[in-house]
Amino acid sequence: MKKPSRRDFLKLASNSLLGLSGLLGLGGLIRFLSFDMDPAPPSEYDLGLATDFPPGSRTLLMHIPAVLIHDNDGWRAFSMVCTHLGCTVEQKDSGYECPCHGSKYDTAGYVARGPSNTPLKKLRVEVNDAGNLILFMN
Amino acid sequence: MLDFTGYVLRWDEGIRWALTAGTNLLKSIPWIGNQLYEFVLGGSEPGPAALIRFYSWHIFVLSLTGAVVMIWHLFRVRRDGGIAAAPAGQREDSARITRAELLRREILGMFFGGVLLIVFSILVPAPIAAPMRGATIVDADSSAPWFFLWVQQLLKLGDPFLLGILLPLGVILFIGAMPYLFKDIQQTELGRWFPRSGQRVQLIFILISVIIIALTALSISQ
Repeated sequence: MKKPSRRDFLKLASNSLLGLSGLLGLGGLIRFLSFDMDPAPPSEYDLGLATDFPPGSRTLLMHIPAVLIHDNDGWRAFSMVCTHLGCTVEQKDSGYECPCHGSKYDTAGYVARGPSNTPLKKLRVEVNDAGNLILFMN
Repeated sequence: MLDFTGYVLRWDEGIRWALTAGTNLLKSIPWIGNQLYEFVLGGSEPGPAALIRFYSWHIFVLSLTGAVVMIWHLFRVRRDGGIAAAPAGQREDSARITRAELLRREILGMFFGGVLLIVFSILVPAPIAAPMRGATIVDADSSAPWFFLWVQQLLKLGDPFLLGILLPLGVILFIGAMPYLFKDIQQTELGRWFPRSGQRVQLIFILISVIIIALTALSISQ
């Protein structure tokens, strides 16, 4: 067998290394594409005893984030996620305002000023058998 | 992209809304938006998987692509004898820049650039805020990163897809395509600063720059 020249050896070695790193990269890419999704956020929240939210109250639930209203019509809630690009709106005197792009909503969650053109998402609220308020996100 | 993925790696309250708005922009893309969002974030909302993903995009995919393009750029600068030059017969000085001279200039550029960045980073502390933990918001900063302030200002005007994706992408592609679209510059003026025959291109570029700077200034002032 002919002894490989120095040039041939270096060429083979560099090509092998390049091929190997390419394969490793490809392996990483395949792992990247076949990913496990992070668990989805909860679809409902137990807010505790309904009696903790007396008639006339308007409670900000920042961990969700949502607004819970208890008035003469009963329980109502809407999401505090801006429908424009998803930032959490802040409570103001006249309603709610998005800090990111300035959308404004009135106290009922309807658009008062753009860029958003969709009201804040209404959420369903129910009282369960134990007397706890359950907030449904979907 | 490289800037944004690097900015997100701070993973502090300062980037919360930039990450939220920036990734929600993907959802506004018709047909593929939601799938693209989940692919980029690795979940249905920003979480640990998103941090790993931005890290891999930043230090691997985008940096590698950037390095390849930069090597190609340096190679072409060397081969073409400068950034742009008139054909050999029409140049006053027909000599090409020598390899040693090019290397000297590049090393000097890297050195001064590096020193400037180090001094800047020592004098101006990095604005790291409290770490971002779940959905609990701790005094989040609503400003976009400085390089996207103009896009944030555009987004205040309306439709996310049109103003947050199509328009910025169009502007960037247009600037990249300018040398191919406007072939006004005469051969004898190649490689010169602000050639007379390129005034139309210069004017368009200045106009785009002024609009971007004005939008950025407007965003800062609000």
